[in-house]
Amino acid sequence: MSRYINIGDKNGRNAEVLFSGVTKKPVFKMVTQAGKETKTLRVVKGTAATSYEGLMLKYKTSEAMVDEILNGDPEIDLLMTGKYISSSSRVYVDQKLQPVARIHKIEKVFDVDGNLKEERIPKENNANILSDFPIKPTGKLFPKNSIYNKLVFAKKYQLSHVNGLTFDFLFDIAKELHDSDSIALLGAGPKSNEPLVFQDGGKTYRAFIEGRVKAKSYLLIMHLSNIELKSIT
Amino acid sequence: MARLINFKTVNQNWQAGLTKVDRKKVYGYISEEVTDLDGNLCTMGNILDDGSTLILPGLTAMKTVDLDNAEIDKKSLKAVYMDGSDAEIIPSSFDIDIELTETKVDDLFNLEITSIYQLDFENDDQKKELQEELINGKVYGFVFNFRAGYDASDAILLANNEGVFALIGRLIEFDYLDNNIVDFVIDDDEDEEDEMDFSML
Repeated sequence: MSRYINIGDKNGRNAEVLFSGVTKKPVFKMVTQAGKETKTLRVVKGTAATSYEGLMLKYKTSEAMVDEILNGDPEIDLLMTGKYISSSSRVYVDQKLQPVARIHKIEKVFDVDGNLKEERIPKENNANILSDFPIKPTGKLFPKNSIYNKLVFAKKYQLSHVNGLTFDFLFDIAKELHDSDSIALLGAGPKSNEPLVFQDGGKTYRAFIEGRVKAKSYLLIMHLSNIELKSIT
Repeated sequence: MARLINFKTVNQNWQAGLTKVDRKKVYGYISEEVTDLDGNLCTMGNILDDGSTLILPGLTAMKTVDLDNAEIDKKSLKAVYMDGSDAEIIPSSFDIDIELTETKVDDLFNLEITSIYQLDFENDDQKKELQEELINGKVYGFVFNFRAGYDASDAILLANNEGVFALIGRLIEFDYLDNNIVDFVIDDDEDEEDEMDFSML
């Protein structure tokens, strides 16, 4: 699955091109002894009403709840238990096990020792990969042979052209990076100094771009990183 | 001390345990607290597609079924490769010697990384020897399997001044692109939860 990204270069040119990840193909599968295909389904074990929390709300005390369980089966919803779940919607639930429409969110920031450092209102991030301001290299190049053991480049996306013009555009970016044997930090926003946000309300990512060329073909990879290679002891 | 892995090349051996490295241990972490407007704590739940049944975390299970949706005992299943031939179990890396192969830095840039481990050595001389060897630009590739299973991961061993690390993931064979237009499936749904699983503080 591909998505568009608005990417610019150091010369002030920009274009909307595609990016996509490479999905892992399964290596093996589980079958019956006769070799017949199987699949995995999610099923209901119990509902909120039959959960510990639901039963405590209903029977008020542990003793009363235990008595009810011993005398009947209030913990089993015979209609729902075992039902296959095709889809569901995530909701916030209050202590009365009712969906909540209006909520208040706080982020608590803890240090590595688990000490609370800060409480703050979460910032709502807007997607910025397809905005009026293209994603651009920040200007600084990082030689591959010196950055490879400092950051962890976890997720990778390949950039692809959508026509002949964008082929030339991306080829040029790839060639420059290839020739310098370096990767470049990408920045978003008017000053190209913001991390990338891929969808509204999404997380922020630091992204680097790597280019390789082979004859008349190119490879542009966007690497996402969010951790330095540091000792934890 | 944790279980040790024996890393080896043609003429060298190093024994080290593994400690997982993640953002929480390096930078700390953020926890989100959600309340209703009266300040009462909320938790996450799911409404089923009937629009009324509420389920809480832990109240679902995964079941293996046949194509007619009849449940199958997982113990009766067998693993096969995608061509239908019987799959062979790959032992845990803790139970066998890990053969290290010298590889290129480019392989590291092809590795989609899912886990990071720091190597913990009982023998400081071994750590120093391997760290010095790797810090000068050498990287080793190997196959890693935390638990015995049918699908091992790709891995790369490297070092910096902080220590020696194993990066675990999947080597991607990217295709170079020519001046041809390939048919792409475009995803227009920006709200769809994407598959990236890490965040910045």
